[in-house]
Amino acid sequence: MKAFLTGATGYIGHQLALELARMDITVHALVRDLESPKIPEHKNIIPFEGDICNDHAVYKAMQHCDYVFHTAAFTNLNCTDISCFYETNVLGTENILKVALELKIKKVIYTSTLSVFGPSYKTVPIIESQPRLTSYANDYELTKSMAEELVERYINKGLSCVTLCVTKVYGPGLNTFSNGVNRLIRLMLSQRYLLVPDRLHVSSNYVFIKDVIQAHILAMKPKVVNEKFIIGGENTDYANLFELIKIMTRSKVKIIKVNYKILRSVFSILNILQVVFKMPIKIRPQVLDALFVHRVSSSGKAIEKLKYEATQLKMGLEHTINHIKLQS
Amino acid sequence: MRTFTLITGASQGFGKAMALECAQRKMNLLLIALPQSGLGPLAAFIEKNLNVEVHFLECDLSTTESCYNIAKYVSQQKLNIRYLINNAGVLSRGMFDTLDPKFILRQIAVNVTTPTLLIRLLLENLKRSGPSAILNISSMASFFSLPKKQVYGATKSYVTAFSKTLKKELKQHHISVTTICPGGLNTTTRLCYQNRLVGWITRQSVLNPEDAARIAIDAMLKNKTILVPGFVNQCLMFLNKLLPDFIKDYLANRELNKFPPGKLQPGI
Repeated sequence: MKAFLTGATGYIGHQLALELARMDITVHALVRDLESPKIPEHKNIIPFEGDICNDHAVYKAMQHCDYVFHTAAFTNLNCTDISCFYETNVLGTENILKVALELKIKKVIYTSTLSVFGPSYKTVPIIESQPRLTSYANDYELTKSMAEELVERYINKGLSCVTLCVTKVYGPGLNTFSNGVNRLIRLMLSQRYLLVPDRLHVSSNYVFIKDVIQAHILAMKPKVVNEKFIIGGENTDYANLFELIKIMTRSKVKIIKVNYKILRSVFSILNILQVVFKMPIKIRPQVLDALFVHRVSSSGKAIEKLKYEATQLKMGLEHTINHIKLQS
Repeated sequence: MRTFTLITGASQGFGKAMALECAQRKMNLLLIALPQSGLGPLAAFIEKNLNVEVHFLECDLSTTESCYNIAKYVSQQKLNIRYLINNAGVLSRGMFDTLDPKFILRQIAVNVTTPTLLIRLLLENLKRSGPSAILNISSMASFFSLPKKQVYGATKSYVTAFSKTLKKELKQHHISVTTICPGGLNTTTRLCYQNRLVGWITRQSVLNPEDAARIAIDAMLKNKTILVPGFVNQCLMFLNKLLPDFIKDYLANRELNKFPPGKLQPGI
């Protein structure tokens, strides 16, 4: 069996490629740079050079494949140029879907995000049928939603697709913009003081990377078609998450709470200065907004239909902390 | 008396935002939208989490038959309609010579015929449920002559003019009539994307539907006649009165020719 995969040098795609390869599936990994050190190495992984927006490169790599795993996405919320998000998340996705339809691929498994649903209503867990209640807060949410609309459109054209909306992913793996919990653990291990916004009651859903990979494998089941699943783990608030990590890392870090509005204003001013003096932007206020709204969810549908199982947060954090300690 | 707020075009964008805003104000709802537009899940979510009674009807508002069906449903279910929000509308699609005649007729039906007929059919019900209110969603386009928005702008001019006159007639029956004229709104993904590509001033004038909805419902409850939501939009309306026509035409054409760059258009 052969599978075409995008995002092999990203957090999820990298581990998914290795897992598929271990299952004896030949993985055609589309990568922009064949020299990238992030390309997963395995005898069953064949890197193909090319960009997801390039039809010919995608066609060449996808030929003779049974499945398509589209995990590539532009996720850096600090980027102020919407075209970066648009080209990868919308145009790139459309290109993948177009070629997949042409090549009569068995199934496309598309990696999306819980943020397409927007924040939860109070602390009501988001489920797949919930309508979005607020407008798009940032370019990432908007372009991933546009990509999901494209997936719907290609399903109507006859392409078989499964969409997996993953919550906040953590666990061993490459360091990318999207694994914030891993960054938090590193900070707790290395810093003496940590300034945090005072909205520690805000709850989110956290999913262990191994579970996300497993969900992608489960989505290959022939009976699962044209469906959308929320792939998550446990819901918890920041106060509990910080406490857990602090205890498990035996960190002596002192957490100092700062008024959210003051902190946001400081970042806004810094942002303006960084733009004026053409300095790299570290944290945009929009990133804070995206992080400090309730994003709780339920994976009941995936548990029922995919037989998906989620790792307990404590157990997942333990693996992650051990991995990070080993790395450093 | 248990009363209801009827909202047309309630499954997406501004209509959905108004449905949520009304539900947060504990108003029971009768929501109308096209089939397969996500109306059922929205109604179920609101009823479950915002603790109000929600009815919904899926129908195509480009036919007069749908208006009669709505009136029939209201009478069969014995619903007292206290607030009627005519929101459903068909947006612009391009230059007049490129438009399909069927599309033009559909746009006129949804934007003009349906709100007019619905008000007429539900008028007795509104009188009985009084003091009641009608909120008609027009557009800032009703005040300007914008290329690519010719039929749309004209239908919205009708809504504005019709509402202002109707307000005078219905005052004796304790029914207020409010017209909201929004500018750009971040509703569909496509519009959100376009709104992020336009110039700085235009971008500042664009409102999120949830903010516009709060302003609109407040205006309806306060018996306002006509309201343009958003400070920047109000400034633009003021400038519109001051600026000579040739400058307005230049600015309108410049903005319209700006978006979106061809290479960034997907097949949606």
